[in-house]
Amino acid sequence: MAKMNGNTSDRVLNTIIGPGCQIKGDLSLDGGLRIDGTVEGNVKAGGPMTVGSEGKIIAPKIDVRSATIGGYVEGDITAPEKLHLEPSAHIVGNIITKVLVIEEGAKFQGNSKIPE
Amino acid sequence: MPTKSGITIFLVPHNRKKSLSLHLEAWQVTLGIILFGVAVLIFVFGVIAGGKSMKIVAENRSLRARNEMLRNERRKIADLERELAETNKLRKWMQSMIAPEGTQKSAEAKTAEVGGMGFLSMLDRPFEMRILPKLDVAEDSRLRRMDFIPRGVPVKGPVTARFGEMGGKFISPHTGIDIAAPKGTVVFTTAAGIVVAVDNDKQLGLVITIDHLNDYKTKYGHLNSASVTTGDWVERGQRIGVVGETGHARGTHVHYELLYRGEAVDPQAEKSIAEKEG
Repeated sequence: MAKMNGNTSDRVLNTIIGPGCQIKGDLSLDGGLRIDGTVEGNVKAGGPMTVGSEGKIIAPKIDVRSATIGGYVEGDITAPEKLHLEPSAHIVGNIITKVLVIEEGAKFQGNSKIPE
Repeated sequence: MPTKSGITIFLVPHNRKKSLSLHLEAWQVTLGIILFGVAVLIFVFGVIAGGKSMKIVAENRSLRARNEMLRNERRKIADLERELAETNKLRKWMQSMIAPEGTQKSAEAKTAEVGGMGFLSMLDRPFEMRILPKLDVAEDSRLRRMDFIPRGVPVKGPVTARFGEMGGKFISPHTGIDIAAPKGTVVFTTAAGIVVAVDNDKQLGLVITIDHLNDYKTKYGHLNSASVTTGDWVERGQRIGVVGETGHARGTHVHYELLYRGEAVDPQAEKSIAEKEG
């Protein structure tokens, strides 16, 4: 569904969930993605994930390479490379990342861990 | 939104900012492609034309530089031509000063030869060579010197009184020779020199004295008229006056006197002196 032309390069953003789009179910892809709509389900991506300021994820588990979050995310996030919380970000859940950036105004409720 | 064939261009930021989507209809895409193609063509042609015009500009510049160079060359040549003309004039004048009537002609021929040999070929010669090309200075100067030594007689005619004659009409030894000739006969110089005097002498009548700028001077007496004045340069064989009967004379004749270091000598013996000198 949200997969485009089979480009599996894990650095490339090749999936967009546009504003107003609502997905219920797990998402799994090799590349990167951007979410401006709402996803209710687990997200697993080999590339970077961006959540726009209008984007929303409600899931038990989010597993990506790195994440830039400007919207609302409920669930545990694993982003081994880097996790960037922008001023409009609101996260409820635990995070595991090597590099954590929390900008002024970002809301983070949960624990943070560094991967072993 | 019902979409026919067309494309959507998405600009997706890697942060929370909203992504931009630009939808283009098929005709817009076509138009865009055409415009893009035209733009590319214009650019390519612009580059090519620009390159060409750059080339032309460069060529123009180089031609201009070359033109300037040639103009300078031409100016130089004009200067040299002027210089050559001056030196030729000078040379002719010098030759006329030192050459007898006969060799002057050959000198002029030489000048003509020089003029005709192609000016450009002379440019790469040293300056002295340019001034007097092909002028045999040694030979000419030898000829020159000979021109200043009086030879022969000023008029053709019988010698009526020899050098050193005494008695009769002479109270003292004759200082020259008398050559009889009809009135109006042209009197010629016997050597080149400068007219130092045109006098009216009681004895010799109208008399011309020429200094030959060596040890010799000549005098031509009893002339009817003189066609030179003091200070004139004369060549050998130049007409200086006509025979008359002025002064103390009996019958029209020329009193021709040759002075060697201020002393009168026999003009008819002058040949031996000249040979000694030569």
